[in-house]
Amino acid sequence: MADYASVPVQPIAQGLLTIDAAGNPQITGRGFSSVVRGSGLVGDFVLTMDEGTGAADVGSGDGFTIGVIGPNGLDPRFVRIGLTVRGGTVPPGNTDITDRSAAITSVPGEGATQLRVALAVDPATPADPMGFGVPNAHGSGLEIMVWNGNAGPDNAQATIVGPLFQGAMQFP
Amino acid sequence: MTDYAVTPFQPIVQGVVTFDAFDNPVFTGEGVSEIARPAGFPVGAFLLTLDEGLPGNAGAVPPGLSPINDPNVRTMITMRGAGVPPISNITATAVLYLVSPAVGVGADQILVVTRTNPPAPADPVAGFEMIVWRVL
Repeated sequence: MADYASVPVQPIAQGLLTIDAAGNPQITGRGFSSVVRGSGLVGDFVLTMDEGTGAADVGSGDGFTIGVIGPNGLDPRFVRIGLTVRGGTVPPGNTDITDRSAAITSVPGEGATQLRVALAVDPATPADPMGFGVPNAHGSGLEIMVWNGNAGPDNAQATIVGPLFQGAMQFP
Repeated sequence: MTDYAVTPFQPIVQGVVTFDAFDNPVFTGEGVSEIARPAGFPVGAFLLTLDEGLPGNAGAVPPGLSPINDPNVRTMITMRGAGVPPISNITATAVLYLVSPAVGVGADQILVVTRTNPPAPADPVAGFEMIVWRVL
């Protein structure tokens, strides 16, 4: 019987994107320092990652060597993103947002520092996840989660025996 | 050059929703004690009650300013498809966190709503996976 390995994924940021009464996007949660409209139009948002501390740094050093504490952004190859729409005014709480996508903006030598999120309704029409300060048929906001998908050392280098998650015992 | 922070969030629900021979939704996983269809919505809506019995899980998350603006919880839902390739009939998915009428309990139910195209409520043909996190 095969064993299947566990994999460490490090939560980096989570937030709830809403639209205020003036039509400006707002982000609450942790890990994002700001959000602005990417193109000045609806359904296009640029989120800037929050600067942390050395102790809490996810650690992707020069050349994106995983596991090294360093003052850098995320390695864009390992960013994992979850997008979920909060329900809107169509009973019992539906949304007509059909397209959710994200892109990663990297700074040379620094890594991924921004996410750009796009939302749309069929047929390919950009849309905000809610109205100006109020829910609408699109929804009542957008949940965003970001992980570093390779937060630990290469599992292939670890000796794994027995049940899932059970590491090998070693004796001197 | 800058540092970028980590953030903690705690998984409180993981599972898959499928359908029995009578098309009743069935939850398999952890963190949910009951699943039902809300009254008046025979398809495309699923009301999940958080499990009070899990160690470290109060069976609820703190409420937000309104039932639709809860800052304390995040959910990720992925449709399971059927056939080859496993295409899903669902084009839109939404989630809401419903606050208990009992004072001080918080949001103890999750409403998941699924829709097909042309727009109409619909059950996913092969169910869906979900993970819920309490954000800290």
